[in-house]
Amino acid sequence: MSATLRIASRDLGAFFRAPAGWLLAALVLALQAIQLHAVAIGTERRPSAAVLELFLLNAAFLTEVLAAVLALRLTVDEDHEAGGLLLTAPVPERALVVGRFLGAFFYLAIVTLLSLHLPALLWVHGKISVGHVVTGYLGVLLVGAGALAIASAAAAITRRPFGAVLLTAAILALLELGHQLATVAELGVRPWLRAVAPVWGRFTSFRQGVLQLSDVVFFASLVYLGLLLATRALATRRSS
Amino acid sequence: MLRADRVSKYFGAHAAVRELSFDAPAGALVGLVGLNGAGKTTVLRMLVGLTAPTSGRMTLGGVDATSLEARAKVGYLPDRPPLHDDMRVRAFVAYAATLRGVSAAAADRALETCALREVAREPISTLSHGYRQRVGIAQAIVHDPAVVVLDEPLQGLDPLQIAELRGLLERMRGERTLVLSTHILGEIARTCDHLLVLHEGRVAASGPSAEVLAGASGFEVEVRGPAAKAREIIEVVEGVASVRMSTSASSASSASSTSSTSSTSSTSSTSSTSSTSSTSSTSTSTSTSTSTSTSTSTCACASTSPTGETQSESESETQSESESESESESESESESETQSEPEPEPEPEPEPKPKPESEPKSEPEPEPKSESESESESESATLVVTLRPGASDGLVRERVARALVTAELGLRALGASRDDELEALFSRLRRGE
Repeated sequence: MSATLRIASRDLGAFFRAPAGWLLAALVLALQAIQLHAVAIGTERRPSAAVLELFLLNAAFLTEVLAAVLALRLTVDEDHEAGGLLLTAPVPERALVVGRFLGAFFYLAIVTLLSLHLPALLWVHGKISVGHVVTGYLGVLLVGAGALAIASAAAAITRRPFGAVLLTAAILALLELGHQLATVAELGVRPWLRAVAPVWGRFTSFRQGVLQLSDVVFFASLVYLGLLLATRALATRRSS
Repeated sequence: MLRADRVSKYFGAHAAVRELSFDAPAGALVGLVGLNGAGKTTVLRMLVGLTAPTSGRMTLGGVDATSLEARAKVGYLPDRPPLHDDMRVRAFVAYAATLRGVSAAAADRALETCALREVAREPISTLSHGYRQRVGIAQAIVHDPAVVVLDEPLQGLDPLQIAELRGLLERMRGERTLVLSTHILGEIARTCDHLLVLHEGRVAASGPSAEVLAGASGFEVEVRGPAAKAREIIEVVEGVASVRMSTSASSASSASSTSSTSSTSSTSSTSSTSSTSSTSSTSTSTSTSTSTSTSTSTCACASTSPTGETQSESESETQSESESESESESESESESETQSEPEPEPEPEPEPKPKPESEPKSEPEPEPKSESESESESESATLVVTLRPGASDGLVRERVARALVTAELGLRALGASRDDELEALFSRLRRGE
C-alpha cells in the first residue's frame, strides 16, 4: 500500500474511532431526511423528478457544509496532532495532501451514500429513474470533492484548523455569491459568473439527471487545482 | 553524520539562528543547550528537514536535510509528541513504521526498546505523560534511523521518568547519532558526549561535554542576608572553586540596604526590585547560566530513582552524606534558633507584612524578629559560584543550599526554570525532608 493510501485509511479510521465522526454523520443524515420531507416534498404537489432535483440540490449544499467542517481535519502542521510525524516522514508533500484529502473524501462519500435510502423511497413511491439518482449522487460527490479540495488548500495556507474552516466557508460562499450575481448581472458577464459557481452553475445538469463531461472536467480541475495549491503551500512552508 | 555549515535562519527580520556551524560524528550523543528563545528548536527543525535554512547548508550523511533521502535517515520527537490519540500504541507505532517504509513488525522492536509492551494495546489518549513521551520516542526510532532528534524530551517528566528516559538514551547511544535539546543541563551533562550551547541563535560554546562544562560550570545564587557571611559559607563547600559578588547584583544589594534603613514597608518592595534586576543580569551572563544544572532534579533522581545504572557512586555517597547532614542540620537549626531568640525588650508589634512571592507557601510562619534582624534579612546579594573541575553542578548546588539553610540564610536561585526548582528544594530542606 502506498503512503498516500496509508494516510487515507488511517484518517478514515480516525473519523469512525471518534464519537465526533459518528455524530457528524448522524447530523448530516438527519438534515438530509428533514430537507427531503420539509423542503423537497413539502406541501406543494410536484412530480417525483422535481422532488428529486430539489433534494439533490439541498444535498449538494449540505455536502459543501460538511466539507467545510472537515477542513478541521485536513491541516498538516507539526503543531497539530501528528503533523510532525507526517512532515518528517520520507513522504512527498503531494502524498501527504492527497492522503489526507482522500481520507476525508472517503468519509464524506460514506456519509453521502448512506442517504441513498431517501431517493430510494422516492423511487418506490414515485416515478424516478435510477440513472437520475446515480447521476445526481455523482454530482453531489463531485461537489463535495471540489469543496474538500478547497478546504485542503485553505488548511495548508492557514495552518490552523478553525482558520481553514472559515476560509473554506468564505470561498464557497463567494462561489455561491457568484451564481447569485449571475442572475442579476449584465448578459455579458452572466455566463462567466455561472461557470465559476460550482453548485448552481455546474451542478444543474447533474441534478437534472444529465451527465455532461464538461461539468465532470470542471470539478476534476477544481480538485486538482485545490490539491496542487495545498501541495505548493506545504512545500513552500518547508523551504521558506 | 550531521553537519551544519554557516547556517542562518531568519523569520522576517528576526534572526533565530546565525552562522551556526557544527559537526556531529556518527554514534555521538549531542546535547543542544540554551535558554528559551536561544534557537534550539529552530536548529532541530532544520535538522529534520521541517524547515530549510535561510543561508548555509544542513546535511545528514552528506545529503540536504530537507530531502526525502535525509528524512528517511532521521527520527524526530518534537517537544510535544506527535501522536494520534485515537489510535492504540502498537497500531500507531506500526503506522509510523509503514510511513517510513519499514514493515509493521518493526513496531514490536521499538516497543521493546522503549519498554512499552505492557501498554501496547492501550489507547494513546489514556496514557500518562511519561508513556506518551516514550511512544513519541518509539515512533522516532521505529525505522532504525541513523539520527534521532529529540526536542526537550525531559520536559514535564517527573524525576523517575527522567531517570528512565536517561536509561533509554543510554541504551540507544552508540547505535545511532542522538541529538537532544534541553535546558536541564544536569541531565545533559551526565548523558551527552558533545555539547552545543546556543545563545541568541549563536554558538556560545561547543565541544566534548567535559571540556564545555569545565570551562563554564557554575551558577549564581541570590542570598537574602549578609553577603559576606554567605560568601564565607559557600567558599568552604566541597566542589566550590571560588565565590564572587555579581557586579550587577551588588548595586541592587546596596540599594536594598540603603532603603531598608528608611522604612520597613519599603524594604519588601526594594528586595523585589533587586530580584528583578538580578534576573536580568542572568540573561546577560549566558554561558554561565546556561551551563548550570538543576539540583532539584539531580537530588530528586538520586532519592527516588531506584535504577542503579543512572545513579553514580558519588551521588549515592552524597546521598548518605546528605542524610547525615540533615541530621546535623536539624541540630544546628535548633541551636541557631536558640541563638536568634528575640531579646526580652518589648518587641515592635509585627505588622502583617506581605509575604514575598519567593517564600515557599508551605513554610511555617516565621517567628517575629527584632528590627536589626529584619534589616539584615532584607539584604540581598547575588553571588557567582564557580565549580572545581569535575565537580557535579547538581551536587554542589545541593550542598550550597544545605549550607545556607543551616546558616539560616535566605536563598534564591536565578534563572527562569531553576528558580522554582531550587526554591522547591529549599523548601523541602527546611522541612527536613
